[in-house]
Amino acid sequence: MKKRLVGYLIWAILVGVALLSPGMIVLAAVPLTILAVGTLMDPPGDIRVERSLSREKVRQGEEVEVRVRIRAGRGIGTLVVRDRLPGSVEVVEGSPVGTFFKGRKSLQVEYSYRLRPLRGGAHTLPGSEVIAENPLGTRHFWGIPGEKLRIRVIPGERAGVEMQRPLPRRVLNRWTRSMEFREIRPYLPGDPMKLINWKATARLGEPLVNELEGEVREAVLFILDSRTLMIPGEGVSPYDVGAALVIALARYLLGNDHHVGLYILGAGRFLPPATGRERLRGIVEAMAGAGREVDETLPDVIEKLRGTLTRRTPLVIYVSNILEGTKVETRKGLVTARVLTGRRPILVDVSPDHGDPMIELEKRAILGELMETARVIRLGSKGKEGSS
Amino acid sequence: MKLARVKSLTVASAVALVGLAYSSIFGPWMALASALLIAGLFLSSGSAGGSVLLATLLYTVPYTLGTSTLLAAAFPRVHESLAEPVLSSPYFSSIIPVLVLITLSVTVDYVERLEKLEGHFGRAFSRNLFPGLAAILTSPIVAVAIVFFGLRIALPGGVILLPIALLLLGIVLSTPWEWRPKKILVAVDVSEEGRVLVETHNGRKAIPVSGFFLAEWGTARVELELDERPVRVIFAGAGDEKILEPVARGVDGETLYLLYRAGGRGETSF
Repeated sequence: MKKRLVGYLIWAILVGVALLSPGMIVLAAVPLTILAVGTLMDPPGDIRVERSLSREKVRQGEEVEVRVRIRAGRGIGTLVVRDRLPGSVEVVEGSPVGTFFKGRKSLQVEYSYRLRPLRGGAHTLPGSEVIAENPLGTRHFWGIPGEKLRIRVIPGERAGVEMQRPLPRRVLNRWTRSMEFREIRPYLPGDPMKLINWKATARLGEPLVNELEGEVREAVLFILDSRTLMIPGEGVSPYDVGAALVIALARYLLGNDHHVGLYILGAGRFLPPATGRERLRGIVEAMAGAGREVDETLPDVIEKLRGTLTRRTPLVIYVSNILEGTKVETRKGLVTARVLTGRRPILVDVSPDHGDPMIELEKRAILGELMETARVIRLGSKGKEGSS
Repeated sequence: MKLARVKSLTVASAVALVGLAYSSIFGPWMALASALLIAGLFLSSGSAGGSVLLATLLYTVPYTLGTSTLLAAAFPRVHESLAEPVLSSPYFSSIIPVLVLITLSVTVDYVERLEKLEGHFGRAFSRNLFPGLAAILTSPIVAVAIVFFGLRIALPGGVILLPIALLLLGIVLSTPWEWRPKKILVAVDVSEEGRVLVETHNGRKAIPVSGFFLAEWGTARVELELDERPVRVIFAGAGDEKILEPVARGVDGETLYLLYRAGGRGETSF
């Protein structure tokens, strides 16, 4: 509006002066006065935006209500409050945009909308954006008052990954290293049948079992990619399938006394290999709280974990959705991991169901190349194992 | 009421006013021609603001010619034949019709801005229409008061000096002279990969914007809280550096908000 009023003003003055028309000079007072009034008219200001979540921690597929309270103390005009939402959440009811008119009285309004996170992990909702202008459009306000909100989503509930036998037994057996035989002792109720020393039992006539030093189960380190390639277009996200796989495998491995660690790539979260029930809880919690906060690649992470990899030589299982853009970094990271641990890492590729034969061919070619550096397992985003 | 209807109604009012004014001095054919010109512009471009602007300019042409002392001195006979019907017409004998046209222009501009917001945010803004119009109407009322008061006072050029004084007062009152923000929030909308560099007197901060971040947000927004105004905000994209200028700013309480945009239009329209 400012430009148009200035246009009228210049037109009236120019024509008035050029043709010596005092009437036009008088007319110039009209746009000039409107401009002056526009300058004196404050846009809505003294704005407070308070938001609250119905729940800060939800399970995959559950909805969250966001309640927005707005107060504007001074000014007059149009007020727009908008929550910018990441692609990882969808609005299921209402709108994240509120539009109001602030009159002479102070404004106090409230509205709400419901959203559903599309994948597990942490979702950050930035501070609400406020746009205000006076009715003449001559003065504006823009700001982002209010605090950020964080929703934590526990992954894995809807991903549909069934892990009765997550990996072939021969692979798992390879991770188990038995310790030395210590002595033979009498059988006690509860001893597993496989520990019975049949030769000694037959010789002495009473059930005897082998006493072992105990078994040391090797460490397994999952690296779960949480970057955007793992975020869905439609349906269950590759991230959730990957997270479900990690949870199922971790449960299985921890149940077998393995030490399990996790690094969430893109969130910068690291849980060093440890064993016990608490570790599983820690893994689930870490996934629920992981946002997309760190700009990092697989080689960065391997470098960061150099100490753990060389000291504990864990089996590295990298879970990602490998595409052309990440092929080089993946190969570099896996090669380094192999050098540092002395063992061939496992790459689990989780692909969304795109249904495009060209992408499928590209995918196969990429994974074919990576098979030289790692054992490759493919998992569709419905949780079905494809090829390995 | 739908905004499009209000727009059409406003343009129709401008067409009618100019048509009646032209008809009173040039006859019906000229009135029809002017009406067709304005309506044609509106129908072909859809710009109600442009149409009302054209109507206002068309309206001022005979008025300028009629009140021109230059034309009166240079071409007295022609001027006399033109000025007499113009100045005797009820549509050109006061500033009210021009004031109405400028009010229509302000109104249609407001409606078009609401329409733009509707398109941008996908929300209905029609309920903002009438309260906004009530506020808009105060400005022509003040304009009439100022013009009449300016014409009555003995001060030469008072009719122009009064709104200028009012404008200066508005500028003075809306400028935070001694205000120093305690917090400065810099936001940069980025739609391509690169680095945002924020320079202050204490140094330079670099924030990388990766493709992953962009894919999650479409247009990524980098936010940075500072305790002093940035000296320069730079976007370093593929191969070149670009100094950014703020596209929006806001002052609220003790906080200064600054929005910059690098690459593309961004999400917020101003």
